[in-house]
Amino acid sequence: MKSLISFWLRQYLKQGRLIVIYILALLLFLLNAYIYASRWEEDQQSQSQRTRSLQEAYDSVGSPDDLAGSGFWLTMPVIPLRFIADNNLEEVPTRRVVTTRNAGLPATAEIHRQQITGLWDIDLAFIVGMIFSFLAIVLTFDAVSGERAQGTLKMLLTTRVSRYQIVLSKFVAIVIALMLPLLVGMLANFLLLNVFGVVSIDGGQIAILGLFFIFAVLLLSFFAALGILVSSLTRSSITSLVVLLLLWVLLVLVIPGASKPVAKEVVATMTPEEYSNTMAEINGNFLGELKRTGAIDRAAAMARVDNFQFERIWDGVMEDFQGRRQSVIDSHIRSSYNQSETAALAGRLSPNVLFKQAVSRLTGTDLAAVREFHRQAARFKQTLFSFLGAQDAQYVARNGNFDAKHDSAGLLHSDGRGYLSSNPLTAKIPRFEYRPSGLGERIAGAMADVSALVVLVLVGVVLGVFAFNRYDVR
Amino acid sequence: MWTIVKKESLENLLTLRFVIGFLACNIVFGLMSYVLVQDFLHEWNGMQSAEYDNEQEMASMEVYSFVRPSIIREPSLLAVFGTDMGKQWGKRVWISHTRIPVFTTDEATSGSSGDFLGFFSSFDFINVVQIFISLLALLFSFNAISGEKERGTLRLVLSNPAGRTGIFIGKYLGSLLALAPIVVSSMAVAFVVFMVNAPAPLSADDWASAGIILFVTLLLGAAFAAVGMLVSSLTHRTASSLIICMIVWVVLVLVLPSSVGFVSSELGFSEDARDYNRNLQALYGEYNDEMNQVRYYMRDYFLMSNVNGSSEGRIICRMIGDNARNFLMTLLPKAISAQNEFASKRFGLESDYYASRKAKTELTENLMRISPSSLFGNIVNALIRTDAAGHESFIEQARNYRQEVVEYIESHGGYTSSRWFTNDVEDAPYREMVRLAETMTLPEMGAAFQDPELVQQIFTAIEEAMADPARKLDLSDLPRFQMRQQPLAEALGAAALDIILMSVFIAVIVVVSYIRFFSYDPR
Repeated sequence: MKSLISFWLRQYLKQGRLIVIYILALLLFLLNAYIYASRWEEDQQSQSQRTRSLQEAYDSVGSPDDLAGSGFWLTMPVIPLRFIADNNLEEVPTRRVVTTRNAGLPATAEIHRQQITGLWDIDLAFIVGMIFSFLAIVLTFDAVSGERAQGTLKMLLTTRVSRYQIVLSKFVAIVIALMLPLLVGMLANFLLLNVFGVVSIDGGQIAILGLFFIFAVLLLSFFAALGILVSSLTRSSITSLVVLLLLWVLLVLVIPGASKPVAKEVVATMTPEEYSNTMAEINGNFLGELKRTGAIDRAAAMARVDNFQFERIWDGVMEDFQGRRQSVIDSHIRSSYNQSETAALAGRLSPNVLFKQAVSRLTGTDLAAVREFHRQAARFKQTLFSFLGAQDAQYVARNGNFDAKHDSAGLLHSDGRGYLSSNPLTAKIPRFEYRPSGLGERIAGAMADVSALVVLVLVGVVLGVFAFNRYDVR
Repeated sequence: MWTIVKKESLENLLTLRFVIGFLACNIVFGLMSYVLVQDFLHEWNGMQSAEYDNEQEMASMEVYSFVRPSIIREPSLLAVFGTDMGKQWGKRVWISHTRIPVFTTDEATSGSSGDFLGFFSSFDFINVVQIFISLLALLFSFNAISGEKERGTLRLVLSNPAGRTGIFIGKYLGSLLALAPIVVSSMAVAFVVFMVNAPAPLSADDWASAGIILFVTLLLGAAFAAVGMLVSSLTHRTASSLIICMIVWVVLVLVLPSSVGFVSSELGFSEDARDYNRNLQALYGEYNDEMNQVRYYMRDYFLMSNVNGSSEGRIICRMIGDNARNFLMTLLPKAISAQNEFASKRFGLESDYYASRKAKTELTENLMRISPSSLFGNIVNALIRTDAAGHESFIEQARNYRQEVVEYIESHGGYTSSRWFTNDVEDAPYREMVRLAETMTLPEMGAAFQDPELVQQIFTAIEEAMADPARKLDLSDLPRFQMRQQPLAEALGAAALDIILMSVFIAVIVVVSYIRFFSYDPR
């Protein structure tokens, strides 16, 4: 068996078609390193800019009043391993404004859309999922039918080797022939990115790259098995190639590409117009209700006389109002999550999407990671709110009520908790710390997709062996 | 020669690859068209309802500073077949005297969309056509010459009296003739699916555009068939010509359009954007310094409730007295001129930014023009107005419309009367109350508000005043925006360069492969 594998491998290496492929692959890996090195610089710049403005926002809070009136833009930290699976992170909402009352709608980083972006990002997942899978097909389409034409098969079958040994050794040889450029390319890519300072030789990153390599080999095994299967079902190499190319287009391009419009059809979310209309409606209802019940007028009238009373009425009113707004925001986000998960689910018909999902889970550039960020950001709202509550209690304990030193000039901007006091805070305000999920958790998250991929590979190999066993070598 | 054409095309037509390609193309094009048209219908309905909302809003306007109609770019019906419209350029513009449109309003926002579909790359009709047609064209021609050579039939064929020229042309036309039924039928399927679901009937221009798109799709096939011929005349074995064809395909169709993102990131788009944002912030700062003085005074005169805060250019006071009104009237010219100045400065800033960005975008587009697949995309986008020219024409129209709106408000005295900031009319029933309130001291006012009867009286008066129809502006003669689609001739003009380039590409490749074939060694 071993000698058979090296026999096929030598045959492939002699052919010269691999050389061209190796060079193309290497170029792509270098291109990837170059692109993501410059993007990393870019990312870091914008990250430090955002951290600075968040810091300024923290620093500008001097009093409970300030805190109640300010919003903090929280941003998901940039991910150096983005070169593995990019997932159009620029177009995904990874920012959110949080006040003591609300966690706002997730927002994308400011992008200027007219800047041309390619159809696909040249990340490692693209190189493996598209280019290498294509190469796997180009290498395997004549694996059986081509050998038949040359007569090698008849010769081999006269020796003692069994049919399943032939087909398995061929499969292994093809996978090895694909692994070699992948390994060399990833190594070159890693070294270059190391020079640019994107990655460092640390255990976590190497583990992720190692797992990426294993996932990639699984995906390529699937396409190799598919190639052998189709090739042993057809008599002519050209037919086998046409079938394989169409399958490839379907699995790699059409299914993942169609998953987005399909998800839009299946799961409805509010359009931006509907969203702003709903919000406007809530605002309108709120104002109408206030007018009808006279709450706002009573509160405002009260403000001229008794600020403490005003604060109480106003607080209750705002609590209710902001709660309604928050529930709309939350349900909108929930349906957006659903939509995106449906798209991923629809795409999972294709092994490429399984691979991409697993790899994205690994690098932390997928929906689960972004969701985790937004969950923590929403929790931060609660932290801010209870901090403000504590400040409030302290203040009342000290001064009795809010009216003590307040000058009633009539400037009633009472967002949030409606503090009209400018007393200094007695403690530092809490800062947002994002804790991404650990590597173990991410690996566990990727396992479902990887196991599906393994099953696909096994099915492909078994079917391939079965088909080859019935193949007429004449 | 015609016998050769007939023989070659029949040879291609009767293969399994033709049958599979035919079926696959028809099914995928049809399905894709269905999915995209459903998506388009959402957008179309959204646009209609946005127009309705705008009308409603205009009918409820009370002050001129709020008159900011929102206009939406109406897509050409065929936009289904183009690059996702609106995604790249944005499609909505708010018309106001404080901003002269250069960009759409929704183009570059830190968009709080809550839309997580950004994870998935969108795949439009152009991509499907590019991939399928180019692949099939290569498959029909990659072994035209090397295949005959390998089978040893080339020598036999060359003995044909038609000569090498005849054979070459025959083979090329033969592969095109095999491709044509696939292109025509699958495009027709896609078009019929679209027609059945289309929200409005097609105009004559749309029909003509559809015809031209079909023709250009054939050109795309011809270009890749030529590439196949070239590769096949350069190699002597089918296997190697196939590998080369596939690699050329990967580079032209997959890698090249994707590495454009890389080129554009090297050209400094982001630096430009940062500079632009910084300048804009500075401009805002200047403007706000000026406006804040105005706002400060205005705020001082906001009497108690029902006062919506002021945002840029919008000041609304429901209930103000004569003193306040007179004072605000003295501030008004200052505010308007500050806003006008801001608008023109911002226009300068934005058009500079747009111009520099456009120059860079064009550079990347030119680099992409190496690939006939990108040329195809450009042509289709130009024909259905989802390209830069279509966007610019919309912005141009938005600018003209803004001028009309400004002139309308000017002619109604909007900028110089108190109707700019208040809906207050003479002889409103609550005027007495206001006068009273204006002369009260704070403690007196506090005491007055303790009197529930008086408070009730005031609110009843306000409510009555609010119901007064004279408070509404009559905007029925405000000019409405009517989107004018670019005429077909203009769109063709925009596409002309790419069509010519595509033809040149085909001609060059065909000639080169013809020359190669002439010296091809059949042994």
